[in-house]
Amino acid sequence: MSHGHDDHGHGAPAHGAAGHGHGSAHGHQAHAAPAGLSPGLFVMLGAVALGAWLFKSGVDGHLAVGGRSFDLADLFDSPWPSLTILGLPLLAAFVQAFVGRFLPRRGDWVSTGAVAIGLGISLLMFGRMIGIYDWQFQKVYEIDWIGLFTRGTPDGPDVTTFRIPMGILIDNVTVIMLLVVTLVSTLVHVFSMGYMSDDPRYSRFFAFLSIFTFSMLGLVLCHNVFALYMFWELVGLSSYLLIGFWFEKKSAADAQKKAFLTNRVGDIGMLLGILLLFHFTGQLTYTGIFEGVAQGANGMPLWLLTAAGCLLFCGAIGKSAQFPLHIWLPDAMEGPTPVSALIHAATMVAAGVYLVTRMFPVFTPDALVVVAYFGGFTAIFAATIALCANDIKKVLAYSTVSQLGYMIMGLGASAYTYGFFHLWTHAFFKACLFLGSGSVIHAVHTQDMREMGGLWKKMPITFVAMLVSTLAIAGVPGTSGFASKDGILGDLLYAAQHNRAFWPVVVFGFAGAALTAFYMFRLIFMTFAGEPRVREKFDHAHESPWVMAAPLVVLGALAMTSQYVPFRELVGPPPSAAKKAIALVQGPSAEPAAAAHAGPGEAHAAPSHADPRRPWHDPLEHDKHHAHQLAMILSIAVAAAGIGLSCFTYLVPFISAPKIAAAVPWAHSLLLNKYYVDEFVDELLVAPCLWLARFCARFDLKVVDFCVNAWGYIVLAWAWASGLFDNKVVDGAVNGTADVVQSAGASLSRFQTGRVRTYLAWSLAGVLVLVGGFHIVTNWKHFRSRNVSTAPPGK
Amino acid sequence: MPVVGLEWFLVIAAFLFATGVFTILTRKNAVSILMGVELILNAANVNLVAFSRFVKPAATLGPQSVEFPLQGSAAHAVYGQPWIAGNVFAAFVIVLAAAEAAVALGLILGIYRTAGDVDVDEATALKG
Repeated sequence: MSHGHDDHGHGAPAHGAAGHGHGSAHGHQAHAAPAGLSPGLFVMLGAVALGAWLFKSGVDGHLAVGGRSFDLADLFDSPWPSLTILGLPLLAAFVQAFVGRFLPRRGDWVSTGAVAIGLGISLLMFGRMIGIYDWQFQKVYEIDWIGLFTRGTPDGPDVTTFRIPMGILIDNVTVIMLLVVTLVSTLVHVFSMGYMSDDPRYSRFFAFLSIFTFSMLGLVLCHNVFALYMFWELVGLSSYLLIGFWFEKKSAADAQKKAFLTNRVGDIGMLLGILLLFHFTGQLTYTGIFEGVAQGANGMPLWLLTAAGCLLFCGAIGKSAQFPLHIWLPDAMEGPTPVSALIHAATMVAAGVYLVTRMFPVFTPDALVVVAYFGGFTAIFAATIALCANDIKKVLAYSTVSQLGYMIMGLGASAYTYGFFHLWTHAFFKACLFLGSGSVIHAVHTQDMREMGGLWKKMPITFVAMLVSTLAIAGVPGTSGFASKDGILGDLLYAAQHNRAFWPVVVFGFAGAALTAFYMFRLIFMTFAGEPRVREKFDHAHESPWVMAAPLVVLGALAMTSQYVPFRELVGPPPSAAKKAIALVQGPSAEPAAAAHAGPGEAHAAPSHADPRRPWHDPLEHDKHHAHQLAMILSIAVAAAGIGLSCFTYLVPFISAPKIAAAVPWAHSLLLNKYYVDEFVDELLVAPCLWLARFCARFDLKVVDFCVNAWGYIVLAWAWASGLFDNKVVDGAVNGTADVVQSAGASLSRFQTGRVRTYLAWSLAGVLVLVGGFHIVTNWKHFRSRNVSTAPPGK
Repeated sequence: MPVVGLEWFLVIAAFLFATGVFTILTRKNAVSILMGVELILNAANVNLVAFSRFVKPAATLGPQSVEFPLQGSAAHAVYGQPWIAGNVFAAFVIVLAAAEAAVALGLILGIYRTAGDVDVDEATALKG
């Protein structure tokens, strides 16, 4: 692992006090040229050495500090290291959000320190992963998170019918993603200390960066699709917040909305895919879903599984900016450049690739072909747009879209290892390119490459770092980009040789590689080479301070060295997907061969007590050998062609780009206008949406309001009638009763003479009447009979 | 010699009552009216005591007719009739009459102080 010390350094510009010291050192000389021996250089070297030491300790399995040795063998036997990595940025986000403004240096060291500590732990874990050297390494820690529909059983414990577990899954892919995220994030934090130093909302920026880091770490750590979706939306949110960080600019505010809404379109598909899988397997965890799918998913038809894969891929289309949802990513360049480097180049946009990697066993061969076509088309489509872009960040944005297309295309063609490998290498060289462009923008205060030129004299460090990264992205042998892209193209070529469905994709791949080499060197030549086009901008240009230059140096070094990580041995498709992957690239006719080849792969899956080191071995490696050789020759040829053409166009004005543009004006305007996709979306999607919205508004105003008002009038009329009834009938009855009582009282009051003797006389009369009446009633029969008996004599 | 029975007492009482009513209805003097009231009350007293002496309590007081525990004994002979509820009632009425007379005389005194007279026909302030 001689490359180890290069891989990760920079770790820890902010391990506690060290980080603070680092930042302070740059506070003094914010605009001093980094040439010569400055404290920043030593801090950078120290941080790289610290990172290398942590990595080495991880590989060895023990950490020696001051004579004491800490055993790291059980680093993965506890969820706490991972949870620390995850939790610190969240904590930092809260600190930054509430008290960051009042801290020294506006609290940038809190966020940076949090993620740098995470980087330190990630380096230990990464080293440990290489020390363990087991491609099937996997640890799951989970708790019951949500339980619904709990019922008691007649005699027994309560039964919960619906559970959502929460937990973390640690395997090689996770560890690598952790390192990518914390590494790029740390460097971007450090870079931002310089780049954002004049911003009034400095601490808010770091709070947002911390939220993003937390979300992205959660996304790669969680072990179930429910949490995946949650963190997926959280990274979308943090992307939204950071794109619109300068929300005073209308373009930034528009871009953030566009990014969020475009992502939502893909996310709906992803949610539907998750729901489909959950419906049929009843599981939310990755392992549960994979097992369920492998066992037939309770009768889930194959076409539905394909559909579920395609729907899941919709999420990747949105997040990883694949055609046709790529439109948000170039606009997202309205955000601060460190954000573009972190989120829109290295990490968040890789989430889609991560999703396809993680859910690989779910994708059916048909779904994978769809994935490959989307990726391949995006790769060449975006590359052509980048040919004509003049905004330095737009070129990089389309280049990112194109490179993501490569990763997706690789995964679609079962190049699982190389697709993910490209994510890894691309994260570093693309982050380097973005930070380099940030450095350039910081120096010349423009993003238009036509106003640059000759900057290499002024900014040598930036120039070298960007040149190295450009070599990597162009696929020049010896760089990390060559290793990964050549691997993808080799696997693609092999797949195309056996399965004709992949021929267009492989053509797209090689053509895209040539275009990539061309437009990336066009960027370098226009920016750094030749004579300055705008003299005053050139005169003001200066090399960035070390706090910005150091991350460039580190990332540039990684662009040359990150390919030495033993990816081919440590990252392989899950065993459950191995046969499918082979069948896909060998075609349906090659089933027996596939089965035969699956043998060694499965043999590796079996635990071996003799040798605990279990590297992955591509069962088709021998067959692929020729394809890879051919692909290597081809890709070197196309890269050389692209670079050469670029040289003759922009370095030595042998070919005139304006003349070519004038010769095919329609093509030029097509590329300049990005194939009119935005206009297309405006006309075909946004316009109908607006029309529908206006229609709804009018419906609301006319129909709904009419109904509401009509109901109001009805109620009003009813109330009027009710009031009338109340006034006339009810009040009439009440008043009538009162009147009757009053008049009766008035007439009866005449008996109240006030004379005692009158009263007495009346009482006496009453008593006599009562007694007499009582007597008559009790003796009524007697009276009657007397009457009857007296009647006959009267006759 | 005629036996002095219940009727004798009732006649006396009726006479007293009629005399009281007549007094009230014919006299204007408030004090005379008060005397009429006293006559009526005492007519009632005579009735109460007479009934108490001559009427044995009926079954209305309980499931069986009440037998005086000393009936037929020497004590019965000594104390005569044993039912004294009417007598007690009469005693209450006497007390009540005394109280009533005190209140009524107070009222009359008040009327006198207000009107300078005790003619009830003149005191009609409470008419409706």
